[in-house]
Amino acid sequence: MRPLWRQEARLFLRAPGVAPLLAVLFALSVLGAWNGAQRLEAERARIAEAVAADQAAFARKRDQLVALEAGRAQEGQFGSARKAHQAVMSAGRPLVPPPAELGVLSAAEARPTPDLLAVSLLTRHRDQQPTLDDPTNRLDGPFDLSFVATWLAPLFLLFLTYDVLARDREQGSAGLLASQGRTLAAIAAVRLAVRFVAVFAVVGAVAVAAAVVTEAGRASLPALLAWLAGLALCLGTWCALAGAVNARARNSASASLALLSIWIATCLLAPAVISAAVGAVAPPPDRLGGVLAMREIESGLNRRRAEVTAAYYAARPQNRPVRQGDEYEHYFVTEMFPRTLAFDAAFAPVAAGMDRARVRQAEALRWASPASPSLALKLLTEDLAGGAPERRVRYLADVDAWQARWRGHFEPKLASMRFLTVEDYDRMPRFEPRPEAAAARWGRIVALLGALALPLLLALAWAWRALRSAGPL
Amino acid sequence: MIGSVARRELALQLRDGRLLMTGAVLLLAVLAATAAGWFQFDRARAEREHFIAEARQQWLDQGARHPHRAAHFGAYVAMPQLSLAMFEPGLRPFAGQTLWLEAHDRPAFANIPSEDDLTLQTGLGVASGSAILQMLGGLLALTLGALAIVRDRESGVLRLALAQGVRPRAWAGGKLLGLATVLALPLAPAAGLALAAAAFAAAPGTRFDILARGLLLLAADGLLLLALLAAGIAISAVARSSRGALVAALGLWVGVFVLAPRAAATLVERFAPAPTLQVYQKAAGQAFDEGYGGKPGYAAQLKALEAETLRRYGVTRLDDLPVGFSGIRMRHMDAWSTEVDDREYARLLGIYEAQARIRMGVAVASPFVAARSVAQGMAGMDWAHHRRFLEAAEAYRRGFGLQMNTLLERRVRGSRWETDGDRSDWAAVAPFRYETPGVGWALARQAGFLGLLAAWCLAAFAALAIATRRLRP
Amino acid sequence: MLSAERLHKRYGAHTALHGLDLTVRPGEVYALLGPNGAGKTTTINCFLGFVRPDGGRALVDGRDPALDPQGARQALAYIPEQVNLYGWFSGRENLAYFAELGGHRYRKAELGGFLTEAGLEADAHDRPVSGYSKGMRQKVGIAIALAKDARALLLDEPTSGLDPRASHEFSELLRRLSARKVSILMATHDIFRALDVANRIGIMVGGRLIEEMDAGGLSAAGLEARYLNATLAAAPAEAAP
Repeated sequence: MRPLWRQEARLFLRAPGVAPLLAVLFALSVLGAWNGAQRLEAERARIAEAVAADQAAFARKRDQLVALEAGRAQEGQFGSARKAHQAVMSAGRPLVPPPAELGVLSAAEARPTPDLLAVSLLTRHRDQQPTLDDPTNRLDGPFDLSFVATWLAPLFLLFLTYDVLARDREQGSAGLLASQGRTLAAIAAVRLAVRFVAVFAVVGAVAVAAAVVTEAGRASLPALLAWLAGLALCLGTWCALAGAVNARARNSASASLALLSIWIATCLLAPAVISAAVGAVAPPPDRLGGVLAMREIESGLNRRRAEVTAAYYAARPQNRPVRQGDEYEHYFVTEMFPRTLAFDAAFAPVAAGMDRARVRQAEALRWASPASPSLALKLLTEDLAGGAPERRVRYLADVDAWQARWRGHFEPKLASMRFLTVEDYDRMPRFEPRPEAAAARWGRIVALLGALALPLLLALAWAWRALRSAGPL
Repeated sequence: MIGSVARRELALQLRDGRLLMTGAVLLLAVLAATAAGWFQFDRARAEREHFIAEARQQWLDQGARHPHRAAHFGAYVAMPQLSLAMFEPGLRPFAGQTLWLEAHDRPAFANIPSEDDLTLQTGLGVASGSAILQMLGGLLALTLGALAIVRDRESGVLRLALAQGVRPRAWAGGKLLGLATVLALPLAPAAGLALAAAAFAAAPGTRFDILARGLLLLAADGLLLLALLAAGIAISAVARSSRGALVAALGLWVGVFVLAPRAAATLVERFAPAPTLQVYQKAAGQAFDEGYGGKPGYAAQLKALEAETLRRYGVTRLDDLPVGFSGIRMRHMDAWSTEVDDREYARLLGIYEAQARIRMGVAVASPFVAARSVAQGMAGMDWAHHRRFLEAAEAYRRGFGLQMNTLLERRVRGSRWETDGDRSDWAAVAPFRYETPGVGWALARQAGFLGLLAAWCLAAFAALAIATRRLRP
Repeated sequence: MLSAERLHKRYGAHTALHGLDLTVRPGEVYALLGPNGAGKTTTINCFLGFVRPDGGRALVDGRDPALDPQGARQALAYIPEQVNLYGWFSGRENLAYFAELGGHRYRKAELGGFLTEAGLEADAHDRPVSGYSKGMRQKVGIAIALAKDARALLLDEPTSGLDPRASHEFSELLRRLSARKVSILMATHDIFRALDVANRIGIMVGGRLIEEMDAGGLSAAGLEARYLNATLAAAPAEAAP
């Protein structure tokens, strides 16, 4: 078989159009990787800026407090470093999840988990993350490696494989080929393998290089191998389909149209149909319902605000105010803060329900993804790039746990209007997100690899059947 | 002669079962997507109406609270949608349909469906009737065109036909006319039914406007398909083999429909990025605090305001004022922040214009970008319509903010802050009303893209004329 | 009617026609014999205007196809070696289509008449061409030529692959056309058929007309000997053992 490999590889690389096509794929992959790297860099810069600004702000407050306690400074009406309602109540601390291993693969802006949340003593549920961007820019999704590997690489493979046998039939050389001692099936298999290696090498090499360069030691080898396996399974499916179609096609035009129809069905129509079905089976979180619930709870608490305040201090007599404060402090501390806690307690089930709905959708999509290898590869890529809803749920649970500790740290002094001390600043709880449990994460990845393996096996079975009986006519 | 060739071409294609099947699939796909769009449109309308009614009720039922806190509780408004949105949902998945109007800040779209609904990010955006008509109709037009002449060249029919003395351009023109009729057979009824459905579901009094918009939308799609068909036939006229013609046509399709829109988004992000809301607000905040163009910052303005108010009422202390200085201060603050915001918004509009110019540039290379823009504009779902709604909502927000500040001014005395408004005060705020602009307004904003489509059509015809000037057998 | 004047054509380094001079008079059947690559098809392509000569000119009824391809083509009919037609159309529909391309519109019965005259059985007239044999398609090609009512006819290996009976019928048809003063230029390898129908025979080798002769009085063996001598003399290296 070895000589055949060499001959076919030489034939393939010398065929007109192949080198330019592979060069274009390489250029598009590099462009995709570059966009992913740009997004990562921008996001990291944004996070670093937010973290630095937050640390500087708290250091400034601490310095102010030291100066105040030493009698070197006087307190103004606003911006006090020792009154908790001014110093920390609404100061959003930047909380960052553990970095995703292959973030460079995706530049999706609409990822459900922003990698930076600013969380204070107040509720985080009102943070809507509005955007000024023209949504037209998000209509098609970003040009990243996820897009290149998922949608373009199969198309390039289609261009390279649609005539592996059909062209010989068309030119009348199939008979000559078949009479030389190798079966047409073996020849087709070698040709497909050569093309698979070419496309896989181009996209895979760019992805590996991008991950190594941008993740600088954070890229995990298992994650990278899992993604490369997903890419191989997806491209392998297309090679098998090309083999099956070529086994019967009388000319290359029919073969290309048949493969194009399969591409349209699996890459364009199947995701649309799957989306509609998943939307019906596992509807998205009811965001507008959530907004109405939020406002209903807020209004209810506002109407019962005296009652809420009384209930709060009755349950925590040790937090009763030790001084009067001005009308602003009185409002923020004795009214707004108890209402915030009551709001979070009432809204938490709604938020949890919305997160559950997201996870249910993701699960349903994974179940349906074998119908579209490209969709399965996209889900795998987004997962490895940090876009899985499960990662969001885990992150938000960590955020909520941290907020509970943050509130626990400052609440006694805030609610009782006692002044903060330097020690309060020095012993602030830190946010330490836990990485996602390996079993849960790899369970998803293995499921998606399975979703990619299933169509490959079916396509291989079809190709095997068809190629075994493939003749020169 | 052209008519005769067109009739034969039509008859030939109709006898080819493959085309009938493709046409039927396309017809069904467009109708199914439009039917799904109808349900989504209907559900969105019901959701919106429910949301508007509930949000209004919650505004009225918020209970007694400070007018400024009521302004922070804010109002929710929802953008009405034309019934053509069932065919072309445009930016709906990426812009959302509701705005939260809160004190101080210009509204921006939040609660964006694509951030909650994973199914909106799964495919290549071919879920709507309009997208199927454009993308798959475009693919059909290109492949039909690409095979039109080269198949006859390969089979030798072209040789025989030319030997009859027919003028090549007349023959190619007949092919173009025949294939355009072939394309229209499944697509025209599909488009007609979609338009009828949109007219049927139109709000009272808007039917004529919907029909006019719908016809313009379909005219843009017609120009797109005609241009691609002519380009396909031009490719076919110069191609030596159907294999080469198909590869060229598919390459063109990938470039026009898959790469170009993403390239536009990438170029926009690179050369005319819109600021994030945080950056926008930071810039506005800085101008607010520090002033600009010789105008002092807010602190200095406040001092001047205090002095001016004291002078006007002939008192020396704010506490002695017969009106609420808090209200005067808030009114002044809002006026100043409005001025600052208008300046920032003008810059933002400049960025949007620059983005539109980039997209227009890409549309020179991709008629799909132009056709999609026209379709979204005619369906009332483009960024121009969304922005107009944003601006109307901002005007409303400023109005009710002023109402709240006036209330504060009247209710408190001196420098006092605390006072509560009640239901009658909330009811005095008129509900938000918004009318979608007419077809003329929409057409004015899409005239450039419509012109580009016409230019594309002319260029494709010219290319066809040149390619068939001396048709080689 | 058909004339080539110092016709010259190159394809890259290969010269396909070397100053070819040729005339086919009205009513004359001219058979162009020659080995593969001799330039026979290029000559026909020059008359059809499919190939633009590098030098000299081809004239069809006084019109130069390089300058006025449509005008020249209006005056001639053409039957290629392989008559490929639209498989989804019947023979009659194909004929109607090509006749219209040539500027003629016929009634159904007239179309049937041409097909019958070309030798196609009546029951095949309305069957899809995809089911036709090569001979049947060739007959539709002849019917197309008849329907065009042209003053010149170009034939490129017209009897290749036809059975003897079909070839004989074809010869009869050419004689009838000749009698109607149609000029016929036929490129062929078939010495017997050339001798059977042609008035004059030309032997082409390497883009040159080596020999031209009247067909009258020639025997098949004699023509074959002259053909072999001409081709061997023109390409001795190729013929050497």
